[in-house]
Amino acid sequence: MIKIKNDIKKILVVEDEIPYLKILNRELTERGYKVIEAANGEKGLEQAKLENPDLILLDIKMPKMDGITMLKLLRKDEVCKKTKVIILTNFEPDKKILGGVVDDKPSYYFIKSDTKLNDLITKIDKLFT
Amino acid sequence: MPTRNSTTEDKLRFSELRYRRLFEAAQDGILILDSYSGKIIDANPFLQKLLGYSEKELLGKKLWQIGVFKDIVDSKNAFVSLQTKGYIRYKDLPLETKDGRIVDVEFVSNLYNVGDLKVIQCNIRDISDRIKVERKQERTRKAMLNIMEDLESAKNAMEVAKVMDDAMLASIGEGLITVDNDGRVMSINKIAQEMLGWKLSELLGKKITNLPLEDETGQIIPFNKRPTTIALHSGQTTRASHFFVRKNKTKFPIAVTATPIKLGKQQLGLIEIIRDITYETEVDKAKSEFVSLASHQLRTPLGIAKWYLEALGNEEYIKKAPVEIQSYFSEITTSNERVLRLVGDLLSVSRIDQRRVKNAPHVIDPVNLINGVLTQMQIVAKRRKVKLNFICDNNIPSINIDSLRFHEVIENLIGNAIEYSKDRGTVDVTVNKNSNSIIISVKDRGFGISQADQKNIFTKFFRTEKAIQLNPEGSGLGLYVVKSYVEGWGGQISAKSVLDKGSTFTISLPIMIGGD
Repeated sequence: MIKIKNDIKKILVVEDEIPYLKILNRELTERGYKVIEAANGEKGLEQAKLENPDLILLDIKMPKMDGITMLKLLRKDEVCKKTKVIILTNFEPDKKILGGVVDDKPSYYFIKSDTKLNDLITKIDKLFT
Repeated sequence: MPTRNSTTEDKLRFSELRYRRLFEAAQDGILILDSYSGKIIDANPFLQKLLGYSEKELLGKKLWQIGVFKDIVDSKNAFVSLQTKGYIRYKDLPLETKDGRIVDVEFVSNLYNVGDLKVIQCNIRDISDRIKVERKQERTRKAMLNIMEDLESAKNAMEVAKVMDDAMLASIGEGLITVDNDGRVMSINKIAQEMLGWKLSELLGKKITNLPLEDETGQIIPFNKRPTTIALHSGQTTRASHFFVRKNKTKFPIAVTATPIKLGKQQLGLIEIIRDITYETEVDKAKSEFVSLASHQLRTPLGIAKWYLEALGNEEYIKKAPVEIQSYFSEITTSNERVLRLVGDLLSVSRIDQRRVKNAPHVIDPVNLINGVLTQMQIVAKRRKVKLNFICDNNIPSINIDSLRFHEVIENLIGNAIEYSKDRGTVDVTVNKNSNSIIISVKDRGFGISQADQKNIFTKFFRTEKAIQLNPEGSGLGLYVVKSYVEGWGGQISAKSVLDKGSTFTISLPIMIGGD
């Protein structure tokens, strides 16, 4: 995919598992996205506020601050409250774990182990068309 | 006939005549004996008839000479006693007739003087009819006494049995309550009283259905869903697990078995056995939570491998690698997917067991979804050379259902049908509807399931011999998950199968599926 420079979309990947970070970074960069990495919710929130990404890929179970807490705080931020979020996790969208955030419209939900990398990238591409 | 002027002689004759008439017409036997010799002077016709002896045979004989008395010595003694006392009476004396019969008589003797002559008059009344009745009464009385004795011993035996039953009921480790057809408590054993926190006196005659039962979320179980109500109405043994709220408001999980008590066709009430399943519930929960946690942990490395394999598969050096390398690569990918599926199944089971099945219903077109699954399954079907047919009624309505779970159910059923089809087999997927349900059936013409195995196929981890042989890696969880989901939506699942002919799995789903 050829992108005009000023149209390059920024994607923040918040994920504590290095192998996931690495492969997402590689695949997304290859597709022409700019990837920013954060290893936990706390760093993720910092980066989100700093970089104002076009999309956040967010894991749930992470040290320091989990994805749900980060998402709740993110939605309170003026700049980031409408940022698109894809939750990538191995938990299922269980009410007990996710509370109300699944219904939060700019968020999408994927179970990593049930999802093909290719399908995820297609979904991301679609979000920007 | 005598006249007022009759002479003494006339009077005497008249008296004798009257005596004679009475003597001859009497309905009692009369004997006149000479008190000195004991010889019979006179015997009236009734007596002759009673004993069967003619007058000639009697007159001039001594009483004990004619054989009517059994015991000659006794008779002689009795005669001596009569001579001295002047009176003797036997209430019941058996006499032997000439032809050997025994007649029972009342025998009264009096000694009196006729001029200088001392005579004995014996009045003999036939009482054999009365005796017969009395004997019959006596036999009846004895029979009654025997029955009473039997009853008494039966009563004693029942009392012993009751004491033993009571002791048994008191000592069994489970709560036991009996209720009548209105659900009113008739008895409650000690364990149940302790378990439920209510005393016998507080519950006796009260409706058991007034005691609160809740589900795990604290919702009251409605009257018509309580095991007591179901068992009383259906007449069938009913089992259920709920939470019981004690008198002091504490709760604990119980397993109830309500069994109708029947006498012939008449239902008398129920026996309810109540078991405290706190421990089992905790163990189950811990087990499920462990499975859930372990599965999530397993998913991370498997998921990483999945994406790296996918990324690698897209690379030229794999696409153009020697066939052997490509097949190794494909084996690794397949194995990884298999473990992921197993972990997914285990997670589903753990969620079902923890009653944490996610339900995010939205309105979908079931035909569309089934079509999607069929398209996706074509690859596997082609590999097995199995033809997939889709037969669908018009106007299948949309349903409000969790589409991910619904997809899982359909995928599972079609997947099984392909898996257990023979080569070049056909699988028919049919969708139709009735007034309030849509009915989806998946029919294969494959190996089928034996009658014995059919009742177990929805049990967790159960696998038939054939299934193990055809697909050694299967987990035996698929149909359990399918059944749990379908029933969770208020639907039903059934299986019909004939060995070597194939199987048909049918699910019916209410068109109005309630979401929560």
